[in-house]
Amino acid sequence: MPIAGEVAIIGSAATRFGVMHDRGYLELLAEAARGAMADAGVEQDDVQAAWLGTAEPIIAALLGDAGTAVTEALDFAPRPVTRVSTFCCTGMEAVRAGAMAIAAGEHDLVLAVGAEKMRDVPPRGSLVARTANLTHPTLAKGRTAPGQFALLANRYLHQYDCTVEDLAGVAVKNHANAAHNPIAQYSDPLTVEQVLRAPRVAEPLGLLDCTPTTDGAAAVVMTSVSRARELGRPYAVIEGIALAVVDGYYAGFFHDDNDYLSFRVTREAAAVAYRQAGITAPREQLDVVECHDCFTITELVNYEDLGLCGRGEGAAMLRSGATSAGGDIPVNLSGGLQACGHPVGATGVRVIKEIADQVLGRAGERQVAGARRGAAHTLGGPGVASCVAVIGAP
Amino acid sequence: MTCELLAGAVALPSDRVSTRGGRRCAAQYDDDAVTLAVQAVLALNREGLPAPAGLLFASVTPPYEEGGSAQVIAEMAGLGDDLFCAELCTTPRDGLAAVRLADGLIAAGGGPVLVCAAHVRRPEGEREAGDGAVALLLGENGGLAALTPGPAHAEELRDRWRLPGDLVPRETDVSFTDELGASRVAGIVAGAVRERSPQPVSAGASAAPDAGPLLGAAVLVVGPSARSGGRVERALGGPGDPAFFRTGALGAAHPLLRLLLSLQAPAVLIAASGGLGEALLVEPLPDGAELAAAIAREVAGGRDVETVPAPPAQLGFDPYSSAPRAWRERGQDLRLEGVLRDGRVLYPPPAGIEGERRALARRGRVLTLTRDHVYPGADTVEMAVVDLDDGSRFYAQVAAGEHVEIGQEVRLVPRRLHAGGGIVQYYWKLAPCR
Repeated sequence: MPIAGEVAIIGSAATRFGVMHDRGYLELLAEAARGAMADAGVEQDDVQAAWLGTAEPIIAALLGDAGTAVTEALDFAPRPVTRVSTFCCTGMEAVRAGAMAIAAGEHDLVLAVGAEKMRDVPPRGSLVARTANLTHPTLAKGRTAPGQFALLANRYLHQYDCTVEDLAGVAVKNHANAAHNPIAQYSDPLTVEQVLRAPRVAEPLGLLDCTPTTDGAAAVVMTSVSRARELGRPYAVIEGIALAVVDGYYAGFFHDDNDYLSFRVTREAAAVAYRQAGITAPREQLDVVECHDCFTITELVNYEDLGLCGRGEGAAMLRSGATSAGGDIPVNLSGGLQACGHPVGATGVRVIKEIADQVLGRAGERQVAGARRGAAHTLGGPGVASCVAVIGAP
Repeated sequence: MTCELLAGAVALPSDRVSTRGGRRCAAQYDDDAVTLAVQAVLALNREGLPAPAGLLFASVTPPYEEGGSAQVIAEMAGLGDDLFCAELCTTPRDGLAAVRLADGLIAAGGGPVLVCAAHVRRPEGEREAGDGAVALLLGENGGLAALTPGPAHAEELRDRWRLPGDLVPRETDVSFTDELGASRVAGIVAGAVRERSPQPVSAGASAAPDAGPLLGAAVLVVGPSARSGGRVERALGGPGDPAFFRTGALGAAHPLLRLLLSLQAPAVLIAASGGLGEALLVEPLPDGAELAAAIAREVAGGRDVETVPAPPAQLGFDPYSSAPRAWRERGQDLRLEGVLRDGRVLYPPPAGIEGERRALARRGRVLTLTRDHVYPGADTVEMAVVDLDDGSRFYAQVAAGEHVEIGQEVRLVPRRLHAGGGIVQYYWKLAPCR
């Protein structure tokens, strides 16, 4: 059977996101996984398999390099655990893989957990430095994550009605939202001036245009919709979930179909997920969105690629307030990657959890009244992979 | 034997820093003797000329003391792989020695031969040095000048040298170098020229009255130091070095620079250093003067800058490298080859797709860029995406010291990227078209 409409999320949990020098990778993983199982009301012995999303084990002593980390953290032997890794789509890929196992009938109760321990090293020694050294010796030399999105930002500012103040507006909005999210890394409000005064990272992006580096974990427990009904507990339905991959890694920079104004891969993933979920007018049919705001420019482009507005209209949409709390299509009420934080492997699971919580009406102060359906989105690498999920109430 | 100069070019960094008596060419940290040599070879006007069968590279500042650099130059300049390559890395005289060897190769049927020489100033011990490269294409017919190797000399005389591991040359007593070393060897070579060749070249205008059997050809001398070379040259009645105060002394490339600048009139060019002496008789042909004038303009050009930034600290920057990968992907990295498909060049060449290999265009227009302040390989690295003239796309660093803007026309230039794992990795960067 297909995933769409047949797989239910019956439990979820996330650790606090942030810099947690007192918490190790396995500890975070275990807290999220056990929390999700407790939320689902299931015993660990009933969970038949697990998928682990960890993107960068190389910055945490190779913990999470294989699914065996789940076995160790949870005493999960001898059940199968598979690690997946697709850049920043990693967590959603763990969810999608687990959902496929449910849909295939191989298992009827599975765990998907994403975890990342990024701050056992200082920020400058973290992903930027590691990737600067370990990436391709010629094609990627000079590349950093903020640098690759800054290419998009400069082209977007050049081409469209958008200013650096608009970019800053994304950070301001998402930090304001994070004030209502108890797990968020940052919960203090920001001003446009603060964002613009921050040290430049990769022009035009400054420090506060960029996601922080974060420790954290998140998990969901999934089963079939039919079993979820039998369990008699609240559940959310995966109405659609799709991964699109359009390129390798370094080659993506060189391909002339990349206009540096958008991410085709998000459009490809959204098209499939929306088709599965029967969505033809996203802005009207979705009540809430969590999208991949790794950098402020990315959120504006995501609006367009997710079909919430037309090409080049991202900044105007932000300025209109439509994507703010109380707007007609609030985006990143969690604070997004910008303020909630971005433990890479955990993020994709966390955004699924956030939308599931919204459609279950349990998102606390962030709750969108009457939310019945939302979309979660992640974007991986230099725009080469994207995962989009549509999560709805039963 | 006599060979002919078919083409000549220089690569002189545009930045010029003031020196005590003039200025010198100053390269950025991402240039070295190889990248400068490649630029000089690429600047040659080889249109309609036969492809070289040999490449001789002369430099006392090669990036590899052992292991060779000439093959990198051949790859980056797209000279093909059926090429004889060799290099001379002994003294600044070797620029001229390379011409002698090229002449021999050509006489043996192994021509045409590319001779290139380059120098990068070491931060210590080379106050009078500059950065730059010269390339010559030598062959048999239809050239800009006739070049005839003259007498040579060798004796044990240490004026400047390096032992294994030395970064900076050691020098003996300056008075010995200036007053005995170069003057002695150059004088011996000049004397031999007179003896062997009563009329080696046609009459010129700048000869000293006592030039004797040199019959009016200007005597040009390049010594181990500009000071010593200039003194000997004046003593032999030469005109003095017009380049030194504009470029600085360019090591093994300096004799070749003097050669190109001399194409207005016949000359005897002598290089002497380290007890090694070499003479080359230069007889310009009608088109030689035009090239000499063009080279003189490049020597006189450039932009004055106060200083060139020191190399970045690169704390923690230790890039992954692999000799097998570097070899396997040399076409992609050094020759910039992609795969031709439906009239487009796909780059980097996709694995598993067969097709004609085609080099990317070397010019284009900036689509977007960023100035990245967190890349550990530089204080600020400017990265740009470029739409190339052949419709393909390129993404790379902007060359050190350069800046580009969206929409600006740029060119691809060979540069040194890093030396991760002890392998010098060359690639292409972007620079504005000027």
